[in-house]
Amino acid sequence: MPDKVLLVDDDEDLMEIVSERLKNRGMDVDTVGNTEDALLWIARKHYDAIILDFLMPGMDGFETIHTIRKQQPDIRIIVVTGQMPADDGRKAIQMGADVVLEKPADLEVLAKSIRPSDSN
Amino acid sequence: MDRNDTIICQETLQYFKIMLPSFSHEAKNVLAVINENAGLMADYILMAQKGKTLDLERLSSLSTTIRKQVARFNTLITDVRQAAQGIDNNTQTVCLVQHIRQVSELLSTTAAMRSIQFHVSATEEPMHIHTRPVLLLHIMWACLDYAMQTGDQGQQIGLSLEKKGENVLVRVSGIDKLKPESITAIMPDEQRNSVLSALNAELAIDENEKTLLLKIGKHHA
Repeated sequence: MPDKVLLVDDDEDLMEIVSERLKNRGMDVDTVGNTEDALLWIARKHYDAIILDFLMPGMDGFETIHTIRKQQPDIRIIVVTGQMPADDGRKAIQMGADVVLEKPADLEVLAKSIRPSDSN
Repeated sequence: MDRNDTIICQETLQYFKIMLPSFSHEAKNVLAVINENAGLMADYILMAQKGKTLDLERLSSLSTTIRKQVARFNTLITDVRQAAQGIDNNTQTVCLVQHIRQVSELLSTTAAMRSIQFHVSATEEPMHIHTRPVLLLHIMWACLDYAMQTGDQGQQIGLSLEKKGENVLVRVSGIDKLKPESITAIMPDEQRNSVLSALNAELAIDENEKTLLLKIGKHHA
């Protein structure tokens, strides 16, 4: 079964390319451009992982992480951010994120964050 | 250095303090797109090595995306470099249209997070004034930031320029919660007075029109 991934970013160029690259690695990827839509998708479909741009239109990043974690306790939450002070990174983890990656993130690191058991 | 000079120096630094995180955020996004494009090209090369035909149209589209991002990055860097030059040169001739675009673009991510949009209706023609550019950027940023922080989700904030004789009027419109004390909230009295005096400018509120008016006079310094 391919990993089901929800990619959330308001930069369409970035979202399109990351989505294609993850699909090339055998993942099943949906994309949305804001946090409200992300929460709607998560409410109606099971995902193995969500890749979330921290600064997004709509809900505050911490609140989004907390809400996603409540809705899908088993989902991998990978936060990608252009800039985040160390304290905010720690808070994101406390709120339920599994991984915080700084942009520009290496796709192989991103893929391994989705599949932490996959060492290849 | 007297008290006023100290305030001007502090406010100049303050502008860079608030602007640079936005610049950094935008720059990181650009780098992320370029990085992913390069990665996708590497993916295609690997696929081609395994016998898959290269999709030339797709490659052309990636090339267009990279060029677009390079242009975006160039604009960002040029804007910051020009602002930095404004520290040394007390006064400079600058294009107000470009200043408005610069401030609104750097604040656009923060605005988007609040689902607020800027509608810039400045003329396409350059509008040059001789001024203190960093202080001008700083007061324009403070006005837009206030409009954004007090605006409701989904609101549109208008930005326009008008030349009136030797003066230029910058209008920030669509601020529903504008009241007399907003002026102090935009920038504390002492700092604001020093900045406006250095710019030969006035900041006023039109509550009925829900508009902030920044009137910039001819610079005589």
